[in-house]
Amino acid sequence: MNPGLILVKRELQEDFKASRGAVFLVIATLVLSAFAVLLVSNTELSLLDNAQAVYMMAGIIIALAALVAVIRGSDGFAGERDRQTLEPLLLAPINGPGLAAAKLCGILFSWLTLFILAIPYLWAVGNTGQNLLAAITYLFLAGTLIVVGFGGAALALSARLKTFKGVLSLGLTMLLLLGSPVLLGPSLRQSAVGRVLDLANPFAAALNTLDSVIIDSQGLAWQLLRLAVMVSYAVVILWWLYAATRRLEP
Amino acid sequence: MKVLRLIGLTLIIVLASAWLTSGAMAASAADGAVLRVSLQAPAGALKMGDTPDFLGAVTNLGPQPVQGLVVYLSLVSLAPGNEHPVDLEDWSAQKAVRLDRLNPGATDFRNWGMRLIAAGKYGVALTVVDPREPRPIVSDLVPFEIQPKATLVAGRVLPVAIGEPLLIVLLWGGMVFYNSRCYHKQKPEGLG
Amino acid sequence: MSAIEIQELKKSFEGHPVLHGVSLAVSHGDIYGFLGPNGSGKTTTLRILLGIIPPDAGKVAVLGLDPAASGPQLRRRVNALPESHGLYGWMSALSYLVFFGGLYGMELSGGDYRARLRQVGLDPDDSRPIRTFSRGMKQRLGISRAMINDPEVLFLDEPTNGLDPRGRREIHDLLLQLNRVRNLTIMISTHILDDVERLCNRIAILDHGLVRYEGPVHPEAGGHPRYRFHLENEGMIPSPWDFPGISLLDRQDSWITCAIEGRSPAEAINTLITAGLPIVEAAAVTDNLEALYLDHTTGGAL
Repeated sequence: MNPGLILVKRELQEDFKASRGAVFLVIATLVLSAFAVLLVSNTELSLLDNAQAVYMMAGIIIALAALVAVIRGSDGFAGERDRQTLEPLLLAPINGPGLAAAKLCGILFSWLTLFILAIPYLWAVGNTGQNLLAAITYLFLAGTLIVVGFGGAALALSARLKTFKGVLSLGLTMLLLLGSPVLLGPSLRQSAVGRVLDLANPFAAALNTLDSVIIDSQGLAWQLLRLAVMVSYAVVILWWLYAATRRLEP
Repeated sequence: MKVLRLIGLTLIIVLASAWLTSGAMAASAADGAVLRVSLQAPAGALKMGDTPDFLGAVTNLGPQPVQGLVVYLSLVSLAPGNEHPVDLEDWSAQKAVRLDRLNPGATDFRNWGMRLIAAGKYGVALTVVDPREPRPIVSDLVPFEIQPKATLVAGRVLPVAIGEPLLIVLLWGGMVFYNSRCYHKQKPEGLG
Repeated sequence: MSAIEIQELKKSFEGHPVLHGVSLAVSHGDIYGFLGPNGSGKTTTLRILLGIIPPDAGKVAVLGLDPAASGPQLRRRVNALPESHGLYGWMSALSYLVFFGGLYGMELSGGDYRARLRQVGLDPDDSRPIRTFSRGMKQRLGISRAMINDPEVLFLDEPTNGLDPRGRREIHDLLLQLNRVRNLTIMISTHILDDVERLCNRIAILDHGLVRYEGPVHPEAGGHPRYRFHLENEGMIPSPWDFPGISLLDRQDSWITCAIEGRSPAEAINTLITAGLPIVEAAAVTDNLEALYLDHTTGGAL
């Protein structure tokens, strides 16, 4: 078997045998369950409100995906360094970018698992509403790009910084900085500065894409610019990850 | 003499008023732009999520053609105690049209489609604006009721909300239990 | 061509120089001891030899390859056991070995992996997670992992650290066997002089980033390990002394000191006992190595 595939397999096994993945999935499903149960108390939402609920649920899933990407990415190299398991890996005839690719694949599998678990929630909340299939499709697309971006950035930081705690705090700060403009009020976001921030922010691009698809029922043509923003971020971060892992040190 | 002066003044005032009045009416009569507008609700019960068509008709009753008419839909919520206008942004893709020309005697029939977003009592009206007329012409308010539809079914949500976390915990717990049973069957710790 | 050649190796970290110009050579089949106080640069040297970190200056060659330029290629032919085992606590010993075998592209069968675990004294059917293993078991597993690609050169950093005497002896015997059977070149970085005495034929003593001594373990005895034997009866010492490979250096009362060449101490003891010497106690002579070490290092703990 290809060494890269062996590494990916190990990442997946560690998720469940070491329990870290299972713990996260339990927490994620509890969050989604809590949100779904809150909604059940108002079964006569208008169609708009129902679309809003699906949008909010999709937003929570994207946020959880970004969070798991940052946590897993931070652990990627710095965590192995802390546990002193990085050096034997560096002794193997596999280069740094190869290791990074395997770890990123592991993070993407975690996202895929979260996404598959989220589909029943979206179906339960949005089946009689609007744009459910489009919501699921764009959630997968935007979520994957967000996970590549945040996971790749956290892995790159993890390769250069020494401790997991240091990388995690930097990664979470990055997530908060990119997430906070989304919390600005509509009038501020509509200002010139707000629109530039929205456009340059991959997290905002993902949420605005979901808003556009689920609530405004807009098609692919409306999403192209935002998708381009997310793809650009992912490409730049992958290049950074490659450069950061070319010379990995224990 | 004074009486004659008074009679003459009165006569001037009356004739002038008559002339002024007859001029406006004339203008009106000379233009001939008389419009009739109506709106008809669809038959049958309506519920959330339906996409019915309201049939609108704008008729030119005058002798002259009219041009550049703007016709638009208005929606109000008639919920008792909470009457308010409703933004048609999410309800209708086509909220207004412009009629280039409406010949005398012609009627413009048009379906006004809507997506019924929320339940409740509503009224809808069609308004026509003729740029040459000071007053728009509004159809009768057409009342209708949208029946609610349950968009969230507890019977669908609760099994997922309770079942998924439980399933993961059971699978994970089962794996931990299975592994711990395997360990207990192993030999004691080796030398070293 | 030597197995390992280092010439004027220099390395700094964040402006702080660690290696000031290290030079040494290790021949094929040597068990080479690398001694020095903490912070002297031993681990840095090992990492440069493995191609994990690049040197700042100097020439380095392992099996004729430049580790900095040919890292992945070189690491197919060498391996190492770092000071920290770097084991995955949640894996079993067998799955750990299989994982690394796969990384090295080894096409081994399940039976092969099991045999390799037995070779280091581990039970391949033990499916407990590694975190439940004793230190000695972890060390054995680490050695098994370090041997997974049948390396030509093996680097060991404190291989017997924290082991009890029996565990240390078992590791020694394992390494001696590998060296003898496969002509494996072994470079050991260690603080434990007894390990050096038992295992190594040549050493380098590193201090403050420079090699202060490089040569036989016992320069006075021609580089051969020395042992003191306590006899039950001093009258049982044969004369003339005629044991090939075991030179009588000194005798004092019922104690004799011998230099051993070309055989392991265990074999030498066996030979003497078979010849009738009533040996009741045997001990490696380390005082000269300790003196050698202390003479060539300044300050710093062992």
